[in-house]
Amino acid sequence: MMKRIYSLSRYWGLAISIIMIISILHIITTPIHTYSQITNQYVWGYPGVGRGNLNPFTATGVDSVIAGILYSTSLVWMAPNTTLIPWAAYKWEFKQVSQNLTELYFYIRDNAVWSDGSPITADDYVFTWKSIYLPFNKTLDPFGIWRYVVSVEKISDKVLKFTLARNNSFIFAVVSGRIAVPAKIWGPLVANMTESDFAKLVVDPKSDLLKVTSGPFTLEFYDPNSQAVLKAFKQFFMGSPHIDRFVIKFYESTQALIPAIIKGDIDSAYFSPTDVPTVKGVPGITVEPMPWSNNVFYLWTNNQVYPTSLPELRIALSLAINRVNLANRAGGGYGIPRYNFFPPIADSWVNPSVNGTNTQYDPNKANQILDSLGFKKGSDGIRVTPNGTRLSFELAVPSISDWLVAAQLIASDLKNIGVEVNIRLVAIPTYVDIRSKGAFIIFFGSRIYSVYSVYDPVSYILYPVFDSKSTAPIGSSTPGTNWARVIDPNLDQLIESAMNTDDPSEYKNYVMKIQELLHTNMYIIPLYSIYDIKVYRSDRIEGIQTGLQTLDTLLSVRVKGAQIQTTQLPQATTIVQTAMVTTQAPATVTQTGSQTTVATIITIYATPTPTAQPQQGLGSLEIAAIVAVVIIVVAVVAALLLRRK
Amino acid sequence: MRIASKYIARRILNSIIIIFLTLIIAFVIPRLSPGDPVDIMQQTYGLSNEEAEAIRERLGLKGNILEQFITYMSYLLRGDLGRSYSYNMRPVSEVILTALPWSLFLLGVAITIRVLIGVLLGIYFARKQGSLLDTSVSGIMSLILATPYFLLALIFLYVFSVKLNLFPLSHAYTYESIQKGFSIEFIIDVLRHSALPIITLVIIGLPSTFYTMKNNMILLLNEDFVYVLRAVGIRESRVTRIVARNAILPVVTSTAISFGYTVVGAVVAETIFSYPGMGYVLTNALLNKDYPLIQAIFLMLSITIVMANLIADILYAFLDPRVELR
Repeated sequence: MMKRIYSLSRYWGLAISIIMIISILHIITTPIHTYSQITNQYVWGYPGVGRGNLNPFTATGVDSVIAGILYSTSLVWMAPNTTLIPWAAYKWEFKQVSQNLTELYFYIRDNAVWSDGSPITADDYVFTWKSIYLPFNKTLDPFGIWRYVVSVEKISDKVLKFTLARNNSFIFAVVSGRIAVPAKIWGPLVANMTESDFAKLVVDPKSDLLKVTSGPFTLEFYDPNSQAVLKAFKQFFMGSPHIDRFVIKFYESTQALIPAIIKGDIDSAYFSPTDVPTVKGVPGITVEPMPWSNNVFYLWTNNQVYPTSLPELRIALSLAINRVNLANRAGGGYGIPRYNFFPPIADSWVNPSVNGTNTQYDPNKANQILDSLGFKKGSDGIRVTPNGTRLSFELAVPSISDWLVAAQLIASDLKNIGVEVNIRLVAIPTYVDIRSKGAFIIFFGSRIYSVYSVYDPVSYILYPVFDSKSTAPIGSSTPGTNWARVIDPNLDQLIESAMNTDDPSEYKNYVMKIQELLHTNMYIIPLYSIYDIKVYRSDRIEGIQTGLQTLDTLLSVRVKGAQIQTTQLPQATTIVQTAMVTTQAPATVTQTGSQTTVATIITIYATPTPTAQPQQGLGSLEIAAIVAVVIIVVAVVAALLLRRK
Repeated sequence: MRIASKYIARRILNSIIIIFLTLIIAFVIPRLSPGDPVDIMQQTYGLSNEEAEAIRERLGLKGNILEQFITYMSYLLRGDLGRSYSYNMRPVSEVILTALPWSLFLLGVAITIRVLIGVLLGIYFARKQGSLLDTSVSGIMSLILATPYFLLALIFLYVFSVKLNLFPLSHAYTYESIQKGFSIEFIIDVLRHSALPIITLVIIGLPSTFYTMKNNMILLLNEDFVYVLRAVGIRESRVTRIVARNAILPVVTSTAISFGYTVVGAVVAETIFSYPGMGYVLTNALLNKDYPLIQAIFLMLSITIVMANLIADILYAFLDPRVELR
């Protein structure tokens, strides 16, 4: 018997090999359907992983995007292009009670329901504001903008009243994007919670809390290392999405998104400018810059360390840098030079009388300033201060391709005025540490601003970046983003005055005056901004929007040729396309669902035209072919050499 | 075969010491780089200095490095690996358990296939030594040996996935298949997704197995006992089998030793192919200075590698009756 088994075992290897070969052939010959091709779904690629916290108030990264989709109960949305979009509320009214007190009434849609079918009512908003936003404001409102909320009251099931200690359109910054959660589910949870407990509250993707949500999608599947799958909620109050599923696939890096979109594994992703050339021109792929930008790249100078504590030196550095060149090359053709401190999104607040002061490229003037300071050039062309300090700085940069390009260009420009810059590549945690603890003379980096900076640049730009309360001594981490350690009592005074005034014209005057100080002292050096670039498979999907980014696209995106079953949009749901926003709201304004009448400042955002196209290199196929040929040639040569021996 | 219990006890003790040293290194090195995870949290969440200090205390990051290590060890000895900062304070054991099966699968299959193919090729080309095919294959093997893994993986990814569309580009499964539970469709889906990472891991590790096996075969084929076997009329295929059994012994050891390199390869593979295993998790942990997760992964890796070596030693004694473990 044993002998028989043994003799049979000789053929096991052969049998296993045959099975393996058949299996491999089967796998290879079965056509691969990428995710998007299977069903009526839209797949978005995200460079990073989930963290497993879908708490809509504290989630970060991609989790905050998912939580925002699940709880889409904001009464009104303020789009990045300053458009006001009615959302859970179909209309609103202002009532000026007194000079410093405004009542704002929101009318909630009749068809607004939670995913369990129960109606979304004013009670849910009152609960969320009174039990979460206001008591936990230290965690949830770092800029203190909710200090304007005096009370939130229910007038009826579908009418809500905010009383605000402010009489201008800042109130939209107060309510826009602030979601509500169902009182019946969240009430017992937060009843006895301290602020510290709430800050630590993790909402697991499998939590029962997520069974009652309100957005256009509900959560179907979540793997923090792989993907999240959301299923369309057909009763969504703004209308049912045209897609059945929204899939977010997590990738290790932005570079991993490139083959994914070329292959069609994902339908859409945001790309950095330097990655765009690799997909531009690929059939079926459309590259579209967002029509707005809310970031600024700065050269941050340490204001507490000699010699960058000298305003004259900072001005000289600013004048020496060619911003157009930086924007074109580091911005990959999607950059815009910045001659002031604000992001393009907040251009309406720029002081025209100082815009460009000390920010225009003028290396001759920069050299003159340094000469006048007595900074003499040594034999190697690098300047030395009168006390013997050599103008040689280290510039810490994380290894992000376009940042490296920018650092190199800055180093080259500064060398022309006798300032040596040594670029040091650092890991991101090290970079964050250097930045936060002030362990630098200069460093390069961006600051991404909130969309609310359009309404309140003092709270959202000037206070966190320039106020002394947002900084810390060198060696300690800054509570805000005043990484440059700017400490100027005059500046603090102006910022505080602006934050305390209720008079819009006074507020604007302060913003203008602050900019004069900024340009005179050049505490930090603005360089350029870049547009986020949306890359999508236009051969497969249509209806990509660039307004509210994720949310509006999710409602309009369609898979070409897919069978669509949608519900009708509710009545009076007219999205405002061209609303205008003001800093001087009239005493009483009524919004009726289609157009808003508040308007004095109009900001126009044109889709940027690439200022320069990066040179196209070899295509990936060509590179692969060359590599293959090289491998074969080397192998043959190696074989011949070995054979001779 | 004699396995001395003293030998095994000594080896286990050595292994514990090695693991403890690795643990110290894994604990100290991340802390030598500037900053700590609370700094990152402070920037992300806008925490005040007081809040940051409170979190530091809660996470056992207060005090000097020795005090931190003692705190860490006291928790570790109670079986508590801590909580992961980068995964929203989920228990580290939970995070690892989610990723570990994928890595074990990837590594297990890759190493098995690599050893099988490497041994078979080694046997075959030892007999064909000096032929044109042998020199060509040896040249290619040398080339693979000198190729950085990430480059090979990227080329394969581009050619076989993007261009030829033979394999999926990334991840370990599709949502549709996982919905069907542990089914044939799910297994095929998982195999398809793991094909490219496994193929690249097999290719990159193949030369070492191939060369070890081939060189041993060549040495043994010139031994006297082989001439005797042939002289008494034993068939060539039988001779090859006898020689191969003897030649395979060093392959066992080298596979165990190279296990560490394969693990490193898997880390890169998982990162490039967005495969949700331990390497992918480790990359994220390193980027976020997630000390507890980094420490736990290194601890696990060191235990695995040390155990692999220990098992190889013991297995050697089983395979070769001449070996005596003392």
